[in-house]
Amino acid sequence: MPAPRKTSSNTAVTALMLLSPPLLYPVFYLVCLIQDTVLGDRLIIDHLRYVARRDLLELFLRDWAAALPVSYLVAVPVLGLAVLIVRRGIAGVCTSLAVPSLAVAAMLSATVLDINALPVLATSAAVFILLPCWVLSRC
Amino acid sequence: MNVLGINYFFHDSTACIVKDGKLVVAIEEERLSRSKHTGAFPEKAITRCLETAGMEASDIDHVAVSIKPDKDWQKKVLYGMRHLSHAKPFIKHELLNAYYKQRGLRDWYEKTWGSSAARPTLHFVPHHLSHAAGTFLVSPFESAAILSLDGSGEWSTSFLGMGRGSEVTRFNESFFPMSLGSFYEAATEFCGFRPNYDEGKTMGLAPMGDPERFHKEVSGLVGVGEDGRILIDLSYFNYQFWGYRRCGRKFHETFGKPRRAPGDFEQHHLDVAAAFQRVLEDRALEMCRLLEKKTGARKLVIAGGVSLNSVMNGRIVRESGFDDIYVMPAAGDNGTAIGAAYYVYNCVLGQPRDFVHDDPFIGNRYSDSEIEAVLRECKLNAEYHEDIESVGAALLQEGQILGWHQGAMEIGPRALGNRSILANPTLPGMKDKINAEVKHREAYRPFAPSAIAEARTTYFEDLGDSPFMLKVPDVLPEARDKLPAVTHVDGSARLQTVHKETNPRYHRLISRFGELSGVPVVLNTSFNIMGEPIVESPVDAIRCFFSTGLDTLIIGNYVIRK
Repeated sequence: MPAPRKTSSNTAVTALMLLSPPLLYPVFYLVCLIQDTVLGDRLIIDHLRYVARRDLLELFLRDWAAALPVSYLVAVPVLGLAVLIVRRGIAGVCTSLAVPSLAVAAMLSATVLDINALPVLATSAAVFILLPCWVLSRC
Repeated sequence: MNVLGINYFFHDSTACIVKDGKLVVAIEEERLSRSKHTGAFPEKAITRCLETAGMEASDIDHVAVSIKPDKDWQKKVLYGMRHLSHAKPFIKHELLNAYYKQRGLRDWYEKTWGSSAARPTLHFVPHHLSHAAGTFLVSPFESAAILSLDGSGEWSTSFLGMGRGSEVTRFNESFFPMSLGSFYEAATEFCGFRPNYDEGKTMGLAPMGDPERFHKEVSGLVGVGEDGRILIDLSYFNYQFWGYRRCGRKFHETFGKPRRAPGDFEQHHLDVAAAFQRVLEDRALEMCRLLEKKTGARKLVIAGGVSLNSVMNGRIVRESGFDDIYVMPAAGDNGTAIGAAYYVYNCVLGQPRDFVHDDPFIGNRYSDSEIEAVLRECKLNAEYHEDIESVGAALLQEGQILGWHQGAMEIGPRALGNRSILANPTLPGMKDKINAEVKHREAYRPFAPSAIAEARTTYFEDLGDSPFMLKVPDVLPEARDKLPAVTHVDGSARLQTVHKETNPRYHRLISRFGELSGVPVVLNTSFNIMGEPIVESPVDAIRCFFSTGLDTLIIGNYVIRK
């Protein structure tokens, strides 16, 4: 019989499940912004520069609120799987495989296939999954 | 080699056939389906094009479609994901609509050719390339700067480039939602008209307002970057979320209450229309100057729905520094069918350029026997006249309003003398009479003059030839009293110059009228009533004749009176 988990670890998992999903949209937006500014057509940065801050904040909050249900829907199974991986002690293996794979996929899609959306989505997902897993492994 | 060009993705569905480099026929679906600006798949137009060209489907070697649905898909996806609060209209507009449109194309293609070995090659040409390259390739210029502006096509909203021979180079492209077309649509909505439909009404309304009152505010809403990209302050608008309303709360706070059609216009509606028109012209001019600087070209071609703004074109001719401009008669989405076909013919298949699109009369025509059959069926008494132009001119001189249905139908949104309502422009009350009794439309809306090319500079400011009614010169001060029914409140007129080489019958009619009245200019408006497409067949013409206050109908050589 495996030993019961520590209460502090269970609290961390619960906190992770509840607090991480709201971060998904800002992470995604930030990665979009970086990608569009560095590699893309600078559409977002033009928009940000041209529109009043109050209007932008209002729109951002509306979109963030709309993204929340989707974020929870996506995050709970994905993070659940990530937690399982961390607890099985194979996080290091997964990370060392996943990060280079994502990087290669991103580079390929961006340069060979000229698909800029994939790196953005992949990077967002990577940041979103790996960061909480790293935090969790420290608990 | 036969290329079938089709446009069906947004609005103004159209089909055309290019045979060995010559445009033999082009027909808009709306003329046949009787649904104005329809975006339905142009099956009727394709069938009619094949009949008119005397071809079978098996004679088509290539099909050029003026859309590339997968272009910029990643930009769309990321935009949709960034604005999840508007996910529903995004999915409806960008995904479901696109799916159904493509299914329409696939079903037609399978039905027409099935598994035949002689299936034509299907080419998807990006929307703005169809506008821009297409217009350049059929222009009379060997090399020219290219400017294309519209609401949006795929995801792009403008195209700045250069054409040389059969090569087209793009310098800059703007993307949705940074769109001059959508910016202007918001003013159309504010003035109580239908956006992406009635922009011509906004243009006609603008001279009645004071452009200075809101100029500073409107000017701050839109800019042009150093590289030519369009910048819009989106916080004033809602169009970027595919909603039913183009204007946002801030727009109404700044400019006042929108007009509730069909309520009366208030002064601020006129002033907003005037300011938006002025700023649109300013920004288009900035883009033209950038192009001139970058390309060093002396000629310019303008394409896209915004280029139907003939007042803007007039200012570009006056102020941009280019020696000459060319706008094709179907400058809106209807022309993309032609553009895509020529892009495939010249740029993809590498055939030489040897066609100039200077003749808009490329639709279907009706023979005397077909007209007689219709007249018999409708039990109408009609008189046949050999010299129909003299008869028509005499009726115009009497002050009658004529329905004029002749020869091959014109392509594009303007009636250019083959499906027109004509009247005497020297009579002061004629504008109000036609607006009230025939067209049933807003009283302020002006009518256009058709003048024989030889008399153009006698009555109008010299902006060069204007065969497709896409430039607005001023009426010369000394001629304004002679042409009260076609002179707008600001002294301008949307002129059509008529050449005997392209439309000899219409040219003769105006000349005869000139002999009687002393002014070789007629009032010309499209043969339809408000909300309907221009008439196509004799039956359409007869129906319109009997449901409006037209005095006499002339179809071919036949005169029908009430």
